[in-house]
Amino acid sequence: MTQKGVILLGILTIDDLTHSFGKKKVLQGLSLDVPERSVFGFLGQNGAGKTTTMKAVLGLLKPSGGGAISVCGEAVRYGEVTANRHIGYLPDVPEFYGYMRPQEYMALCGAVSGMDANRVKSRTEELLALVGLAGTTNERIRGFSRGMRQRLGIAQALLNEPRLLICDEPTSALDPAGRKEMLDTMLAVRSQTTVLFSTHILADVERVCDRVAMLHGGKTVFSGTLNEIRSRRAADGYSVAFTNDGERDYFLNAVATQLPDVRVTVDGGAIVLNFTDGRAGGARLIALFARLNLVPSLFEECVPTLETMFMEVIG
Amino acid sequence: MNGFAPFLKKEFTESKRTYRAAIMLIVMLFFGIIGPLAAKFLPQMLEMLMPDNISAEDMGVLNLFMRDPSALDAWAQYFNNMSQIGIMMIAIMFSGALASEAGKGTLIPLLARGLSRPAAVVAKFVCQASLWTLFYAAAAAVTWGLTSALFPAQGYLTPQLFFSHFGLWLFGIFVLALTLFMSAILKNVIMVLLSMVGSWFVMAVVTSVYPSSARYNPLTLSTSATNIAATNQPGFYLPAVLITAALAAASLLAAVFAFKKRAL
Repeated sequence: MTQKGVILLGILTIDDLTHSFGKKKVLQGLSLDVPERSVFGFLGQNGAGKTTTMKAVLGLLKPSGGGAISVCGEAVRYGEVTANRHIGYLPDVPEFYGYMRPQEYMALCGAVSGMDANRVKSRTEELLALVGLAGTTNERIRGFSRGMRQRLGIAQALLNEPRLLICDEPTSALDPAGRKEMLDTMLAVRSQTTVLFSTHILADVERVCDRVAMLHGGKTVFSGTLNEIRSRRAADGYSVAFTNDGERDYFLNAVATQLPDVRVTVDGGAIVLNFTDGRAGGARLIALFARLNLVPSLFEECVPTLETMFMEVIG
Repeated sequence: MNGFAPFLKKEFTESKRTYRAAIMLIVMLFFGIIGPLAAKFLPQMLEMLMPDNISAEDMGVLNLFMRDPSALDAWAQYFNNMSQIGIMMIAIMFSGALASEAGKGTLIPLLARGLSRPAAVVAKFVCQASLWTLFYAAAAAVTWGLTSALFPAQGYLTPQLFFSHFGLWLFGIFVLALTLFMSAILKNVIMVLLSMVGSWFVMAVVTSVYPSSARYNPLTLSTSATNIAATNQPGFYLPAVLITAALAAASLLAAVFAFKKRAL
C-alpha cells in the first residue's frame, strides 16, 4: 500500500499468498491486512487453510506458489526467523515436553529467544499468574489438562512481549469454562498486543474481535470491522408480527398487491420481508402500515449475523 | 545456529528425566562388569556342572572351550555385548529423536521463536554422542580394571586393543548419525528402526558376498573388534575407520539438510 510515497503497513500484511499440498490448492492468492491494536478473527471452515496461513507467517512453511508476507514491516522468508521476534505463537494443539515443569519450559523458550534470564523469570511469574497456572510450578507438564496446556501455550507465546500474538484455534478443543478463560485472557492482553486468532466458533468472534476476515476457497471473501461487515449487509430485511391471524392475513394480502417487489418468507409467527432497496424498502413498509392503519406487535430490522453470512459464503 | 546452547541443555535434561541416560549407563556398565567375570568364571562353572561319567571323546571337545581363560576372552565378551546389544540399544533409544519431535509438534513453539533447525539437529547429535562416549569410556574402564585384577600379569593394554575400542566407538558414532538422518526424513520410530535394520543388513550382505571388502566395511569395526585386538596389524583395518568416519560426517550433514526441508 503506497500512499504519497509513504509505505503504510499493518502489523501483518499478506499479499497474494498461494500454496498447494500436492494437487490440492489450499491458498489461492490470499491477502490480509491486520492493523495494530486489533483483535482480529480469522474465520474459515476446517481445512480452509487457516493453519497453513499461520505457518507461512511464521516462516515454518514455504508457500509453493509464492506471495509476500510482512510482519511489522519486515519481510518473512521461509526458514528465517528474524521476523518472528515480533510474534508470539500458540499452535492449535500445543505440545510441550512432558517431563518439564512450566517455569522450566518458559526458561527454555526465553533462552531460545535470547532474553535475559532475570527478565524471563519475572515475566514467567507474571504470565503464569495471568493465565491461572501460578499454583502449578512444581508439577510436570505431563499431568496438565488440555485447558492447562492451552493456557501455558498462551503464557509461552506472550513471554517476549510480542507485538503480534497468533493463536491457532485457541478455543476449539476446550470445554465452556476453558473457552471462557481463554477468551478472557485474549481480552486481557489486547492492550499490550495485537491478536490474530483463527476459529470457526462464531460466538467467540462476536465476543472478542473487532475485526474479522473470512477465508474460503483459498481467498479472503470478506474482511473489515465487525460493524462494517454488518452494516454492509444490514437492513435488507425486516421481521414483522401481528397479534392475531386476521391482521396477519390482511397484511399479507396488502403486501402481495402493493409491494410486489418484496420477497416474503413466513418464519413461525413472524413474517420476514426482504427488499432489494434496503432502508428505502423499510420506509415503504412503514407507509403501508399507515395506509392500512395497522400496528404490528413486532417490527425489527434483520441484522445479518456472522452465522448467516458464514453459511451464505460456504453455500 | 541460534538457540544451540539452551536446546543442548534441554537435550541433556530430557535424557536424564526420561531415564534414557540412566538405562544406557546401567546397561553399559553391566557389560563392563560381566565381560571379565564371565571370562574368568564361566569355564569353572561349566566344570562344576559337568557330569562325572563323561567320555574321553566328549572331554576332548569340551577342553577346547575350557582352555585357560585369558584377558583377551574378557575383552571378547565385552566387544560381543557392546557391538550387538549396545549398538542396538542406542539405535532404538535415539530413533525417535527428530521423528517424534516433528510428529508431535513439540519443536514448533521453539522454532517459532527463533531456534534454528540445524542447531536442533546438531544439539541432538552432540548430546547423544557425549552420552555414548562418556558411558563407553566408563564401561571400558570398568572392564580394564576388572580384567587386570582377575588376569594379572597379562598383556592387556596393547595398541591393537586401543584400535579395537576406537573402531567400535566410532561405529557407535556412525550409528547415531545414521539414526539421526533416518529420524530426520522418516515419519515415525518404527520406520526409523526398520531403516536401521535394513542398513545393517546391506553391510552384512556386502561382507558375506565380498569377504575381501571387510577391511573397508564399517560393520567390521563392530563385528570383528576382538579379531582386530588379537591381530598384529590393526592398520589393515584403517580404511574401514576412514570410511566410517566419512559416513558418520555425511549422515550428520544429510540430517541437517533433510530436516531443514522437512515440513512441520
